[in-house]
Amino acid sequence: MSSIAKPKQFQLPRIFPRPKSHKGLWYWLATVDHKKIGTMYGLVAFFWFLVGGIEALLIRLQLGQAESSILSPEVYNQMFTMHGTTMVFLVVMPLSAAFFNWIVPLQIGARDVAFPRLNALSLWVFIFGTILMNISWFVGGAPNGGWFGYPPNSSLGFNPGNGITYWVMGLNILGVASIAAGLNFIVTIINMRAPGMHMMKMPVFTWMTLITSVLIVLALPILAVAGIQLTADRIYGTNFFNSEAGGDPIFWQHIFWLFGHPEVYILILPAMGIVSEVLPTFSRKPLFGYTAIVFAGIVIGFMGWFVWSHHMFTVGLGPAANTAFTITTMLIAIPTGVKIFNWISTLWGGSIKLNTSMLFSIGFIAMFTIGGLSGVTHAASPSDAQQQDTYYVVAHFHYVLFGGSIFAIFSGIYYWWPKFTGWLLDEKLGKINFVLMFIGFNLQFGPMHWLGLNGMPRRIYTYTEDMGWEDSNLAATLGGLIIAIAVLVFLGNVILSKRKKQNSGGDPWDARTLEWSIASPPPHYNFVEIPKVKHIDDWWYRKYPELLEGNNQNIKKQKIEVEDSSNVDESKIHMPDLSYYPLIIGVGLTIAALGVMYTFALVTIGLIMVFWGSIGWSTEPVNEDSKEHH
Amino acid sequence: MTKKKLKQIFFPLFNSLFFIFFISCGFGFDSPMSTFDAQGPVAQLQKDLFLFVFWLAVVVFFLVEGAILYASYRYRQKDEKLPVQIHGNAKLELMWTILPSIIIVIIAVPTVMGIWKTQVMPDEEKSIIVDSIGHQWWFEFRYPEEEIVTANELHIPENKDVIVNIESQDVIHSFWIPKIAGKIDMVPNHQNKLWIKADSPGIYYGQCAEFCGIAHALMKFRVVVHTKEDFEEWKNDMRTPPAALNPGSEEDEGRKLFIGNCSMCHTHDSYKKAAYHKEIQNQSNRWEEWKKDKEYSAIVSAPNLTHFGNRLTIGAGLKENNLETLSNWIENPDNIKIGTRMKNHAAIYNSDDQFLTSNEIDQIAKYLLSLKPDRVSVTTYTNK
Repeated sequence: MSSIAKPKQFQLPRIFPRPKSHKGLWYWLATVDHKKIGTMYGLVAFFWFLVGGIEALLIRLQLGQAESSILSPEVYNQMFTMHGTTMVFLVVMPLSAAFFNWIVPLQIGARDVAFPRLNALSLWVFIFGTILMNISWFVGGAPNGGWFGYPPNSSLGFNPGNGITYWVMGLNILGVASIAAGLNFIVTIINMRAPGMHMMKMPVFTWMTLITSVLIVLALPILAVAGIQLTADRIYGTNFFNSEAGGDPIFWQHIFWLFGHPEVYILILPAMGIVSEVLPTFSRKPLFGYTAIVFAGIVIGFMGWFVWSHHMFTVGLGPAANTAFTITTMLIAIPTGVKIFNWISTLWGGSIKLNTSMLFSIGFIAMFTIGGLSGVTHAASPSDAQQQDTYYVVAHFHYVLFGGSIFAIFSGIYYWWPKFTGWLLDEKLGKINFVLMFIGFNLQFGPMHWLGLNGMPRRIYTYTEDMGWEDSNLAATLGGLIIAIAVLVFLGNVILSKRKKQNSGGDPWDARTLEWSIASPPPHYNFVEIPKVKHIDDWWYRKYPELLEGNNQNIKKQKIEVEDSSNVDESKIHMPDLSYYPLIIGVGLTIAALGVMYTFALVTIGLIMVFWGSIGWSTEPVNEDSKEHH
Repeated sequence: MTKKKLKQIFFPLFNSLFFIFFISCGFGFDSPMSTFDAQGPVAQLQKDLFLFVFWLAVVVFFLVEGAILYASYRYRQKDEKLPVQIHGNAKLELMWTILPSIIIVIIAVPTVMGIWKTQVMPDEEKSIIVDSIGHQWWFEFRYPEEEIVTANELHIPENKDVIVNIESQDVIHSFWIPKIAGKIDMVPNHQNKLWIKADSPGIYYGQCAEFCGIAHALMKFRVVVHTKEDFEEWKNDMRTPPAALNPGSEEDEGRKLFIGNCSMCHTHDSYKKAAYHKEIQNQSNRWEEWKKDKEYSAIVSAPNLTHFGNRLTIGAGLKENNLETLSNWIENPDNIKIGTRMKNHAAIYNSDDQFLTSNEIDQIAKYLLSLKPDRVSVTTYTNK
């Protein structure tokens, strides 16, 4: 190869040298390794999980008693706005992204994602977006218009100050990160599967990642449009949502929920993917109805686009629209039910190992079912007229997003932790973690059904004693405190287990998919040799080949070790070099966004950085010369 | 896993579920906002539909959760043998696609009927028409046929269809009387309609249900349901002027202070003939004034105070209406409700030379409480 002279390519002169070392801060800032990026996604999102949790606790403390004054009304409004925004955009989405990053390339037998530098860009834009949004706390008040930001309440006339603008700019920046990541995972999953793994042999988690990514790519631009319109209304005096000048606030609601409902599935489909991995592994049995579960996921992702107005049953769209959206909404219960029944059938007849990960997954099915059923009660739009904007709805979506997504994410953390680190989390503490979280969760959100039906509206910072809501609220607050203890137990578990470092080996669970066929933690190139896939759950059948012969009795496990990467000539494995340009674009975008609110000079500086980063990025060779001659 | 360990995990779970169940049941149905205590056909239909879906959901709940618990216990790992490997079962899967579809149809039929029953308006000719306008953070009520205007207190007769035309002047609010009917949003420039009907006389609670800014939690109203006769009395009351005041009395001093300091925004004499259309025009002018200068405008939209002495509450359903609470409010609305335009705009709070003394505040409060129709009213709701 080296005999062919290459034409000299233009390359932007570097200000900083391209990092080479695989250690230290400089490496982490410039890494393109999907595992490192996944780790950073996870850590940052977990940090925001703690922040969002503290926000929730403050809300709960304020509501624990009638007429308490722990939070001022203004701070309370900021608190619930940021709690919702944080948990959706800064916690559940990026925690899912952490799993996409870590697990998908390993599950499909790839060395990295399709666009490693784009992946790093997603990470940095996400991190700076989260910081941008939270700067608002310190410069005149956080956003206070609710996570749904309905104008006119979120318009400048009723909401002066920069809080809402920070919120919109933050969401727009985060949207860039999500859309880029979504595209990246679509291309990765479609193009980079190991030979032999056709679509219907893909692990279900990868399938759900694919569906989620498609939803992200289609839904987030809608939010971006809404956000740009609201920003323009606020900063440049346009009238998209200003009814005084011919605009319409209902227009915002349609766009927001056209994004917002697919967003719900963006939050829950990865969780469904996680439990679809955990349940078969610890039942030691294949997933029941793989095809049905995959297609149910696709159908949910598709139908999620036709139900948005069920968030608007009380807006006054008229009986015809309400009828249509009632029916489409109820139909979604069918594919969801299929999934739940298939998961239970996966348990049925298995050999169930009730460890922490499994408990969280079983907890997921149990709690998600409650959320689904309460969902049907307000899909019935006449009864929703009583429930809309009450605590009944708060209870419903926390059963879906906490009992659902967060339980599944914890299940995934306990399940893949040994793959991430090479050591196991403590099971005893894990079970305490689960039991506390299960009790705390139900104690916090169970009584909220009751509160809502007893007439307590959402988003009120106070209520009087004569409303009869105090006891249920107190119970909910106690539940919140128990959840906080559960999270502390989890953190304690991580610290204590790290001290013990109980070696997990590559395949501690006798699991099924390819990520368990290599060492833990995996080497930076993942697979010494790209596997050739013959079956769904290929690794499982490599361990139990007798199963393929139709044998079902007295199966013996073959002694197959995970891939040994100790004597590998790494120079023969082609991996992309580090790049700091994604970081620079991320910083630049954030500075530009800040400038939109303050001064055009900052916009200029930010855009120059974005431009510098893009040119540097696009003229930078994937591998520097030093590596080319091997 | 040993049985002992299982007990350690499952018992706390069961216990907590029972605990939650009992807590929930012990709390009773007696909130003044309870949707279970339906007092009108609309709320009744909504409650019946909810309970119908609820009980079906309960059946599904026990089947699904029972299956989860049973499977987790029955099929717990006992040895290292692999269980029989089952990949699926087309018949079963078809069954649990079709069964839920049937349940959905069973639910959908009464639901769709309910949508049309509750959202198609009754005959306007035979109904009472009320316009309700949401303001930050109070409710205005207008009776266009009767030419009556009031605030934060909706008066309707029992057993009669009422069509409420619903709109907002500023941000989006939501109009909700849990015991009488589910909510509908109050949206600027959108005319929504809500059909309500109350079974029996009484006082019912209403509250804004859409987040509308800093005092969202403090935006309530009362619905006074009268007997048919009492409702006629109330209408007559609203057209009767209050008794003349003795010159020099505290009330009379209060009247002068009120005219000087409050009446630009608060109309309090809508009992007069032709006052109705003037008040509508005034409200609209006040709104335009405020929009011109949201920070310093001297004039803002404000609740109509006609016959305020008969009102049950002050501050949009927040406190009982009496001398103490009212003086407290006039002294500083923030004492009772944060964020009011009254506090932010009225000269008596914002201009150094117009502060009121506590004596003056008292006089205004006494004047407002004296605003009652000068006739012997037989209605039973009136404030004591």
